[in-house]
Amino acid sequence: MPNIKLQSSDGEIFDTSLDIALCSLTIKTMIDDCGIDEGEDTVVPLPNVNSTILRKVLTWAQYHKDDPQPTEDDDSKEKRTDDISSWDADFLKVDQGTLFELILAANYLDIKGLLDVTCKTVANMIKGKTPEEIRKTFNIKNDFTPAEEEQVRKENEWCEEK
Amino acid sequence: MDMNEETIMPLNWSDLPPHVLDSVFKWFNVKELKFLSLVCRNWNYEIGRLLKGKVALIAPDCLQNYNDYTDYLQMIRRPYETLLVRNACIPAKIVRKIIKKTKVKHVQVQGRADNLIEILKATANAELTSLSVCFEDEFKSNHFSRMMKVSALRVQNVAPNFVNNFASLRSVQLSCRGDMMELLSALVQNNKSTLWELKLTGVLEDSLHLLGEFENLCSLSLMSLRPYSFPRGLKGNLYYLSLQNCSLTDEDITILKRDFIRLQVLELNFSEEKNITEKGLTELWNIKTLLHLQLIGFKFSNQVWLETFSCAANKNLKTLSFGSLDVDEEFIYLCAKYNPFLEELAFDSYFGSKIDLKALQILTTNLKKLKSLTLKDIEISQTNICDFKLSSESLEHLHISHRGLIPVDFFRSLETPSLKVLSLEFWKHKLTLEEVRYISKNCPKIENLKLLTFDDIHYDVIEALTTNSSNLRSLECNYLDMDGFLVVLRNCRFLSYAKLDVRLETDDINILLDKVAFFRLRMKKGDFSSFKFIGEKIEMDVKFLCKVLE
Repeated sequence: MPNIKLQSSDGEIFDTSLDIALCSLTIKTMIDDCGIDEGEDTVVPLPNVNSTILRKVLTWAQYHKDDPQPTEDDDSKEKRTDDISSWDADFLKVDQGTLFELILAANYLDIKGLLDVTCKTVANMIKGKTPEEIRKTFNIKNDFTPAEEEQVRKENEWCEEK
Repeated sequence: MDMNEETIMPLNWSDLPPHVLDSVFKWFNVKELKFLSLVCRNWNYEIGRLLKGKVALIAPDCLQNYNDYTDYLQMIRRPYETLLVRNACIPAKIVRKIIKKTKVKHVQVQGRADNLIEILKATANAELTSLSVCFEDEFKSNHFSRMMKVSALRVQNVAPNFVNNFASLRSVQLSCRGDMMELLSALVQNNKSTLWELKLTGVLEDSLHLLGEFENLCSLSLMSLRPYSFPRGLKGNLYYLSLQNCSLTDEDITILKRDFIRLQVLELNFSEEKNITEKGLTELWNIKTLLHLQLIGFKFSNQVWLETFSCAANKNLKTLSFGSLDVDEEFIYLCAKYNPFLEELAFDSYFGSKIDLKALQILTTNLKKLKSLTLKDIEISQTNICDFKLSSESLEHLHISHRGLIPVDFFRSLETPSLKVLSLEFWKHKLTLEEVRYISKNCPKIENLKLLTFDDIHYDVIEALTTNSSNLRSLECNYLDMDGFLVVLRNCRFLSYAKLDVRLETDDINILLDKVAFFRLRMKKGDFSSFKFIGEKIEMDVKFLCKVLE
C-alpha cells in the first residue's frame, strides 16, 4: 500500500499508509474528487483536527483497518452499550475533552466505527444518571426556564410509546 | 472542500451536531429519552425530532374547558404522528386544532357513536394515513356521510354503511356484529384493487366468496365464533394467512400449498373439532415457503408427528408455535430432532402436561439457533441424570410458566450467556437467595426479569438481584414486603421499569410516603390500591396489598 500525507490543523504532517487513511470516508472522497494520484507528493489538509487527536484517530484506524464495514443501523436490533471491546475501552480511557474532540473528529472524518464506539462510551456515561447529574458530568448549562422545564415534563406525560 | 464550512467548533456537549447527538441517543429507549430531553433545550429539540413517530400524543380527558385546551395546545412543541383520543367528549373543535397543529398522520378515537361522529367530522379533511375507531355503542349511519381520506382503517363494532365513507383503503380491520355480507359488499365496491390487508371478526359464512373480489389481497385474517369453510377463489398473492375456527379440510391444505406460492406465515386455530387428518398435516409440512407456523388445537399422536416430521422437513421454518395440546418428553424430542433450524419455539399447553428437565436440555442442545423458547402451563420435573446443563449460546428469551415447583437444578444448570429476558411463573415456589445468585451469575446479560411466585420474595433476594445483575432494566415481581420495596426504590438508578405487588403492614403507610418523597418519586394514585410512581428515570407500577387501603 502506498502512503499518503495528512496535515493536521496545527500544521503537523502525518505520513500514513493509504489503507489506514481510507477508513475515513471524508479523506476517501477528497482523494476521489481531487484525483490525488498515488505516489504523488500531495498533502491532504484536515483543518478541523489537531495533531494530538489525529494521532489518536490514526492509532484507532490502524488497529481497526481490517474490520468489516459497519452495517447500517437496524432499528429492530437490540441496542447494547456494554459490548465495547477491551482494546477500544482502553483506547477511550481519556479525559472528557479528548473524548469530545475524538467524537467531532470521527464525525468530520466520517469514520462510522469510531463515531459509534465513542458515542457508545458517552451513552454509558449517561445511563443511570438523572438529568441534573448529566448536566454536572458534561458541564451542560440548564438553559430551560423553570416554566419550560415543567412544560417538557408535562408534555412527556401526555405522550406514550406506541 | 469549502474551508469555511463548519470550521466553527461547538464548545460543549449540548451543542453537538444533530448527527452526532443521534449517534449518542440511538443507544437509549423511548422512556430513557424522555428523561434525557430534560437536560437542555437543544437535547430536548433533537430528541423530539428523534421520537417523532415513536410516541403517541394523548388528548388529555382531564382537561375540561376550552381555556385548559388552549394551554395544552401551547404546550405541545414536538412533532407527533399519532393522536389518541380516549374520551370522545373532547370538543371536536379542539381535536381539529390538535390535528392541525401537530400534523398527526394517525388518529385513534374511542367513545359513544354520537360523540364520535363530531370528532370524525373534524378529521374528515385532514390528510391522515390511518384512522382507528372504536364505537362503544351502535353507530347509526344517517348521522354521518362524508368521504374520508385515509388508507388504513380499523373499526370496532362497525355498521356496514360506515364503510361507504371510505375509498382506496389499503389496510382494513373490522369487527362487525351485524351483516358481514353487506359490509364486505360495501368494501369491495370502493376498494377492490387497493386493499392488500384485511382482518375480519364476526359472522363469516356466506359472505366469504366476496373475498375473491379483492385483486391484490396479500394478508388475510379471519376470526369467528362459528365455524366457516375455507374461502375458495382467493387470489394467489397471500403471504400471511390466519384462520381461527375455520373448518379446514385436507383438500384445503392441498389448495394452500398449490395456489399460494408466496405464503410465509400461517396461523391455524381450532377450538372445536378439526377435519384435518394425518394426510393434511404432512401436506402442511410440505409448504416449503412457510417461515412462521402457528398451530393451535392440532391434537395428533406422537406417532403421527414422527411420520410427518420425518417425511417432510422444512428448513426454512424459523418460528414454530403450538397451542392447546398435550406435550410430553417424546413430542419435545421429535420437535428438537426434526426442526433443528428453528429460532423461536413455543408450547402453550394445558395444565397437566408434564416434562422433565432432560427434555429442556435436549431442546437447548439440538436447536443451535434457538433465540426464544416459551413453555406455558407445562410442569417441569426434576431429572435424575447427573451433570445436567441447560446450555445455549443463542438463547435470548426464556418464558416458563406453570403452577408447580421449580426443579432444584434449574437455576444452577442455566448456561445461557446471551439471555436477556427471563420470565418465570412458578406458583408454588419460594425463590431463594442462592437461586437468584445463579441468575446473576449464569445470565450476565439479563435485562428484563419477571418472577411470579406464590410465596413472598424476601428482601435480600431482591437486593442480590438488583445489585448483582448490572444490566437489569426491568423488574416485575409479586409479593414483596416493605423492605423489599425499599430495596427496589434504592436501586432504581439501575432500573427504568418496575411492576411490583407489595405487602404492606398497616402502619407502614407513613414510612412509605416519607421514603417515596426521599427518593424523589412523584406519586400518582390509580384505582383502589394501585399506584404509579414516576421518578426522573424510572416508572413503577405498584400494587399495595393492605387492609387499610382496601
